[in-house]
Amino acid sequence: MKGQMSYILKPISLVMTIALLLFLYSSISESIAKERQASKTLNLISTSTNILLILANSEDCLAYRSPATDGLYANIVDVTKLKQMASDFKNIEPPCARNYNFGWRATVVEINQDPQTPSKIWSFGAKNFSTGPAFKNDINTSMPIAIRYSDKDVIPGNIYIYLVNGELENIAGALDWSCDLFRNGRLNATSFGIHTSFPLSYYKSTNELCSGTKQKSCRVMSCPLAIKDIKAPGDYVWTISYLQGSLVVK
Amino acid sequence: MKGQIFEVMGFVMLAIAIIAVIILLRTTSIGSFGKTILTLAERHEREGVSAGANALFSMTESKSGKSLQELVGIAAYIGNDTIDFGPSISYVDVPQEITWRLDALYGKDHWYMRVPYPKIEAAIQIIFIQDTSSSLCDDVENLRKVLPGLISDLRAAGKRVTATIYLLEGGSPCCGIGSNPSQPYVISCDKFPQSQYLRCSNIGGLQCEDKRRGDPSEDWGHGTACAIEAGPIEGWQKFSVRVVIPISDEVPEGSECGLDTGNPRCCASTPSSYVEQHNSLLRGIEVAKKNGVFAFPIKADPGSGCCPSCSNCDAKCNICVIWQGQTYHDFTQLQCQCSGLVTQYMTEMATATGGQMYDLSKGSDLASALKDVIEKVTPERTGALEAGNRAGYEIAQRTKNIRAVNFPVPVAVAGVYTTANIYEWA
Repeated sequence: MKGQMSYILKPISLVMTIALLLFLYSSISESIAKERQASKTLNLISTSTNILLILANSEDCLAYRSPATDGLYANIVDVTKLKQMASDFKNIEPPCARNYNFGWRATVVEINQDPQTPSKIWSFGAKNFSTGPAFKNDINTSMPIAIRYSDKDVIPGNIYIYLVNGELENIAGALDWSCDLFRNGRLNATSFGIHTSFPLSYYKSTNELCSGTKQKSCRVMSCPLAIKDIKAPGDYVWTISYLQGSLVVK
Repeated sequence: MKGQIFEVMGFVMLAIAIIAVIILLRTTSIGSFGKTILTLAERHEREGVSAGANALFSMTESKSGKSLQELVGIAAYIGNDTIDFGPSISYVDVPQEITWRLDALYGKDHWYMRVPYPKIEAAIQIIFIQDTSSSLCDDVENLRKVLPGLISDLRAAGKRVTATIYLLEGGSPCCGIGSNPSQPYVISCDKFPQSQYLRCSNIGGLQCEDKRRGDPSEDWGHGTACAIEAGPIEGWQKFSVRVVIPISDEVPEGSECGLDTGNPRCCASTPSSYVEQHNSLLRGIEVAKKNGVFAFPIKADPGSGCCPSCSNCDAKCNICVIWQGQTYHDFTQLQCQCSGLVTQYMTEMATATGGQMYDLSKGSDLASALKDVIEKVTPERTGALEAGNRAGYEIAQRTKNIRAVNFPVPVAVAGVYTTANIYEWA
């Protein structure tokens, strides 16, 4: 009888142990996946702060440089640069604050003492973003600034940023990153894997990479692309080379 | 049986160990994620508060065109939250200017700002406009005796007082005054021991639009305008307390106008006949107000103190005057009769400019009058500029996470710095 019990218990123990180990493995895998996702969220928060600081404090972006002192003033935005940026970068992030992992659009709003006075607004950056399953997460945040018209006219304002983590932003970011390195002669060829939940198509006339079927989200690219449309969602490995100012994607 | 029990126990222990590892992994992971997200959010908030403070101090106020940093610096210098920029710009309420901006940037009631004011004694610049007619000889002598000591005492007490005496042009010598009464007494700057803080000059040397009219030695209306336009000899300092003290016993341009034509008009006649005298006064008031100058006119005794009825007083109220080399003992009835109008005019100037009139003929003492002027114009300083929600700050200090930014503020006029402390909470 004792021996029979042992014969039953041992296989049961074995099966249970294997089940426990499988549970442990799946938990660890899940934790790793969650950590990666969390890391992206953290990165999103950190990046939003950094981009806002760069926009308001970098001379290449919006910061005002005084010709008299030849000094930059923290968080003082030059209205001339602001107007120029809103006109030059209606649909794309300005290179001074480009981020290759995320897409963003910034809006600068003037603050008036009298709430009835209409506020002036300037906007620049990516026009649209990943949607549906291609969208991962986003953040909407702001930072105070001063908008300088002249020495005697500096008024309060806020700079808002909408930052998006999505497939289109990741794919376009990787291609723009390659483009910038190719242009600077720091890259000969590269390859990377992408995942897309929608078909991808490229429009040469507007230099836009679009994701989606009916309602498409499009991004203006840094370099023209020589690429075949991707008709089905899935994982792909791209090999990138640079030919006569264009990215050749295979 | 024992072996089976051990076998089951072994399995149970393995299961417990694996579950503990999973719980530990998840707790650690969630805890670390939570902490990092808080740190990043906190960093964003801190950067936002710093950006707000930087931006705030660079913003300009619409009326004065000055930056908030300059305005806070000026407020710290004068020790007052409200700055008077004169008639064209008027007053700027610095905490109010800060409040609407920080309400918009940080959110209403979620911030508090304090700027301690350094201990700075305001500069007080006084200009005397001295009537030089012979009836003022005793008053000039009195001023000579009182003023240098008074300035020295005030400066020794830490008051930053300077005085410039402008003597109106003309005037006749008098007699019976000073250390040698037998000698003619000429009102001149030689009478005053001049120093870095007490200077004297003849008004005739000033470049100004307003020329003295009527009897120039008594036109303290245009004289006041001219002296203010020219400023004290050291020049008007920025944000100093400015005081003008006309000293006379007659109306501007003289109370005896028309006397030489045999047709005395001025105060002895209808007001319309002495409109020029009043215009002189109004010009003085206009320039004083435009330059933010307080007027404290001092009325010397025109004879009415000695002889209230202004008639039959020649013997006891005579003034010793030397005119065209001859000595006269004189009492001017007309001048005495104008006493009321002089009081009225001087009061009008004092009231219009925020000052006060002193009547020496009614027993006011010159030294105490001058001390009183200094006391009245010395601005009351508050300890600090405060804006925002102080009560909320005190509660938040105990219960919430407060972000603080310290910002240096130059007090340019005094050449010192103070610090703006800005607190923000969610």
